[in-house]
Amino acid sequence: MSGRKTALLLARALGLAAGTVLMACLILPLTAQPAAACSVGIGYQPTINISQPNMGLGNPCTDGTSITGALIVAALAIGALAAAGVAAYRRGEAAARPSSPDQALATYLGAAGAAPPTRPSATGQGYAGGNDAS
Amino acid sequence: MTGDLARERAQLIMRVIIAGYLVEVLLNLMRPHVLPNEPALSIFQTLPGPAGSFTRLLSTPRAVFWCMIAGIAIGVMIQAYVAITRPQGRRAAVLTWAMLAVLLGPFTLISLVVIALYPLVALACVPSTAFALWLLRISQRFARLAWPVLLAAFAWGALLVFSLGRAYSGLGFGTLYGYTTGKISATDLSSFGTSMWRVLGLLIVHLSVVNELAVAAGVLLLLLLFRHRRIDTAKGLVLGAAIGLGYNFVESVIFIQIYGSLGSFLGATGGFEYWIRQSIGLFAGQVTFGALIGAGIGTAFQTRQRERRRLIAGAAIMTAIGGAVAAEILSGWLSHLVQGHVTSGGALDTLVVSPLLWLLPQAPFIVLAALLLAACWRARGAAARAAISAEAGDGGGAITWPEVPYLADPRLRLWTVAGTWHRHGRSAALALHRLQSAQLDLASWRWQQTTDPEQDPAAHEEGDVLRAKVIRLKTAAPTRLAVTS
Repeated sequence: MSGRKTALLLARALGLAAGTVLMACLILPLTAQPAAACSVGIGYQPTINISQPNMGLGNPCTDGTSITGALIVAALAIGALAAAGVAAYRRGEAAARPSSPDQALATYLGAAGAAPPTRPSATGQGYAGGNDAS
Repeated sequence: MTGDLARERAQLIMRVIIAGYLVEVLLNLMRPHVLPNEPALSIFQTLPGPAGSFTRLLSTPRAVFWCMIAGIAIGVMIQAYVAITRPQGRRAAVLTWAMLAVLLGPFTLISLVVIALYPLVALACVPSTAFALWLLRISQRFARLAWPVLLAAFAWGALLVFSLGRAYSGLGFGTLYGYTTGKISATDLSSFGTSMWRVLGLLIVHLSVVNELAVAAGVLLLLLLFRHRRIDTAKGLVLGAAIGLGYNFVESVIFIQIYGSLGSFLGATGGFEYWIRQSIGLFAGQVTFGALIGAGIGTAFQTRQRERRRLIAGAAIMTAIGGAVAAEILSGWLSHLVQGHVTSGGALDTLVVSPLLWLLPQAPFIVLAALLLAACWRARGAAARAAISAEAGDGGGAITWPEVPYLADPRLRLWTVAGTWHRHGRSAALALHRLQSAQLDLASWRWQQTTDPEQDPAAHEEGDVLRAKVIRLKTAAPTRLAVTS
């Protein structure tokens, strides 16, 4: 079920991404956008037109706006990672059921040989874990 | 035997690299001279003003060039000595690796000079690059490549791929310009501009071919060094992406610096280049193309038929070359289409339009790499479950049956560590994390064996060491928990 669900989610995400790209491909060349692109690499050719102000060269994409964009992306990336971590933790907790989380964890730690010792009882027997390896 | 094969392939690759470079030097020496008083080699030409700054994108410092020639001469002498004396065993291995260092070492000076000239820019690129490298590592899910291997791949990209691309293409630019352009007339500057852009188009093709071949050589060599372990698509993909990330790191430094100083002419600033190359497009460009090449070569390693192997690896390299060329030329063309409408430089342009135009031609390649990564993630998940179950089935005590579902599921592992932290404290959680990591290392070792460990004493011993480590951590864990709970 989990595999199918993931595949469905992936398909939806891909569909959304493909749709966005397609829409962008259609809209960008057809409509006059209030912007043009700054040069990124050596394949960009700046057009020089002496009759226009500033020789037709647009304004540069400023450092301030660019760094703001980088900060937003960094915040989004960290937020997405944190959200993924929380979601994974909750799914892990759900997967550990039907027993209570405390009991499931204690059982696992016992099986791993990493169980905490119980409080010393009147009889003096305290340790509940051990290497349950065999 | 694996080492011998890796050494032979390394020698072959090195000979191809050096032969190719000498051909580039020869063609450059024989090129028609366009400008008066041109030096014999075009890389020695210095242009004043912005043009001079722009040529730094491909420049090879004069001292570095002579170091490269000296390295080639010494390397040839070592090779002649090896051919005469025919050393065997360890001595032969030492001589081969020394020869490789002498021949290829000087090339890496091109990258090192870039980093040394702009240390603050390089420093600014470190956090995002380190984060991307960490993401690449955790994307493997199971049987992760060790940090030294990932860093070696990164260094190959940063020091060799970038340097070879610049060394070859710096010469290639002068050669292409000489052969495709007539004498420059002071009265016909428009033809000069047309020629220049045509040469830049050819240069992009040249640079892309050299870069992708150098990435492929790095992936091939690193995979050959680990040939005794299981090789799959995921391993190749991550190695290729790490090589691309190394390349992207040094390229970002030079672009941020040079475009930063030519902002008024090119419409970009240093901050803008950082935004494109180290933020929104960090996993695009060379990282994506490197991942595709690596995935192709990793898949080819799994294929038995030689013809099919070559076809898969060749198709991956061709795809990456096509993608790299498209990324530069199509994005420039798309930008040109939009440019006529209005002025550039606004927030919408900086944050949306420019990155979109840059990423649009690469989108199919990025999606393909992401799909491959998702497939690898699933395959590694299945491998983890099988290997962990097999280790539990052996009954050695390192992994017990009740632990299997927890170890095989990353969500459950996270939950157990977080839960232990919550209930028993940080030290206990770290101890449990160390135990789980050691158990996964053991399961990875089991999965990565291509031969029966019982038949291979070295592999058998390695397994015993990993098992003993798990048992030791299991013995120590209750004590740690007792102290902290």
